[in-house]
Amino acid sequence: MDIAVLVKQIPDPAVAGDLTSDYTFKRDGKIVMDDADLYGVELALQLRDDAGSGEVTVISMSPGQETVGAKNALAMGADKAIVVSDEGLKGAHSLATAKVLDAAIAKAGNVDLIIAGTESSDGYAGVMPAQLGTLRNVSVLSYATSVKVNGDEVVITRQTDSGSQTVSAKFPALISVTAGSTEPRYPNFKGIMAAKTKQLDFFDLAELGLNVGDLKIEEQSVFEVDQAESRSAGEKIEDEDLGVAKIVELLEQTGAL
Amino acid sequence: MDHIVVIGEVDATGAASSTTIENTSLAASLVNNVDVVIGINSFDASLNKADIASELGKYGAGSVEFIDAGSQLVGTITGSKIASGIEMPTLIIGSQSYIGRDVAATLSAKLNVSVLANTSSITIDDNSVVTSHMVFGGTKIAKAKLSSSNPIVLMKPKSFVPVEKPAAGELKESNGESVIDASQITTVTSQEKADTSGVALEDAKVVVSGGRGLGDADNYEKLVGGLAELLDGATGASRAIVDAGWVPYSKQVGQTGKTVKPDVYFACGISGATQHQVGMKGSKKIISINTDADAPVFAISDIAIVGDVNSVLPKLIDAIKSKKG
Repeated sequence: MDIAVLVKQIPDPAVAGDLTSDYTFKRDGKIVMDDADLYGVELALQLRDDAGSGEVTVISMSPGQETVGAKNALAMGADKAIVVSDEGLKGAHSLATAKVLDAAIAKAGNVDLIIAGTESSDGYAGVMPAQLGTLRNVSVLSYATSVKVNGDEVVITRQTDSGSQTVSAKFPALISVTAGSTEPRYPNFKGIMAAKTKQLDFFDLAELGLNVGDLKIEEQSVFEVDQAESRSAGEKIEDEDLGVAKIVELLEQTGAL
Repeated sequence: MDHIVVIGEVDATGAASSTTIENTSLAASLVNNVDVVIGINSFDASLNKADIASELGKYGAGSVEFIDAGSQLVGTITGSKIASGIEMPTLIIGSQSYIGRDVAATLSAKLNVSVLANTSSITIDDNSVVTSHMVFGGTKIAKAKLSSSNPIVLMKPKSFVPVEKPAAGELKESNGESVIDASQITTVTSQEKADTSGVALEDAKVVVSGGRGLGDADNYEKLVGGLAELLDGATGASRAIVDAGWVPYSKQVGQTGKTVKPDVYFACGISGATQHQVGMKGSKKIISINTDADAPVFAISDIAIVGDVNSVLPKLIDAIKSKKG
């Protein structure tokens, strides 16, 4: 089974984020692989190994030449990687991203399955996977909590807003997977060493046959950023009994008790 | 911009979801011509569509169209159907939910228009749409201008307080199964609704949320569940314990889950990263219990107890029981 798995490289979420003067996320600090994509990579590796044949291609995109996410996925066991890197991608919204990833996947050849996370840990829009699936005109199976292959079909259990569903579709298809759907492996020393010699190809927009104007990145423009109303911290209490008494007092004041 | 299509949805009880009512009312506050579109499938056969249409009519829906996806997932079908019939220019508003995201994403790709997500307000200014978004855990508000003729905007829940503005609420029904290519077909083989007994999380005056600090699902049930029951409140959860499978997704509070604004919010054993705070910082009072004195949630808490939830909560439960007598 040939699988394309999407990996986002984001500013380290452990560090307080900031915006550039033109209101895009600052990317001049440490860039890391989005943890939300580990589950998709793990699933891709498991499905490839269960099938006994095929390749897992990591697909990533960044305005700079970052490869940390792609390399981490290769170290986990993916076979090769494609990184789209172009200055013109700065500030790209989800649809622009979907168009770029669509063109990048075409470079990977015919894939049976595309696997994505459900939303990134920096933008949180959560629409790119279904945009990509729609552009490719394949079945979109979103928010999977478990995934199985059954002959020429993929069967998932998915979270819904009001419960859960079991859904199937024929290959090729796109799946987005929730965190917790599987337990991602850590790259071991052998994997890290092997990753150094795996194929990692860079493409810019022109090489993908794309024109930055077609991406319509300027369609959404932030023109102002204000400070939100902030909450102040109350008292920190270390004595548990005193804490319990304070809570009871507050519950009585608010009428909750 | 004088027409708005609202991507609507039905909740686990079979009524129009609270975000659908909010977005319908928001749309009616902006323009006079509002249509709501709701995707359903064959598992939703028992829905009372007439009731839903008249309820949304109260808040300004001129029409409420149900698009039947048959045995398929509603996201692709509903998005494709709306795209096939859209007239320009129309603003499209959905909610930042799973269905809202899937419908909006499909529409976006079909219409070649980007999606503005996690929106907290919309204004129409000189025929262009201006939106506000909370960024960096709600510490900053970014304002964006959309230049498209069919802007697609996803609203965060509880961003607009609905007001009645009666409109026709005309019920329409259509089938959307044939609107997609065979290559996009999906087959839903079973569908389960979450348990809707007890107080709804979004409407509760008291919300007790639990996180990893509780140790396991049994402690969550006993302590978080026990406290919520005593206070006639609802239980919520951090993403970590939803991902760990302790509780269903419908309990998740935060960036990718529910937004709650109760009178009192308990964060029990939740460190409260910005992603969690976005979903609960609008609460009137916040009480947090965590062993880590540097837990981020303490910075926005009215009462911050540095201690183990598994020892504080039993004491609190006993104290409340003895107060109640």
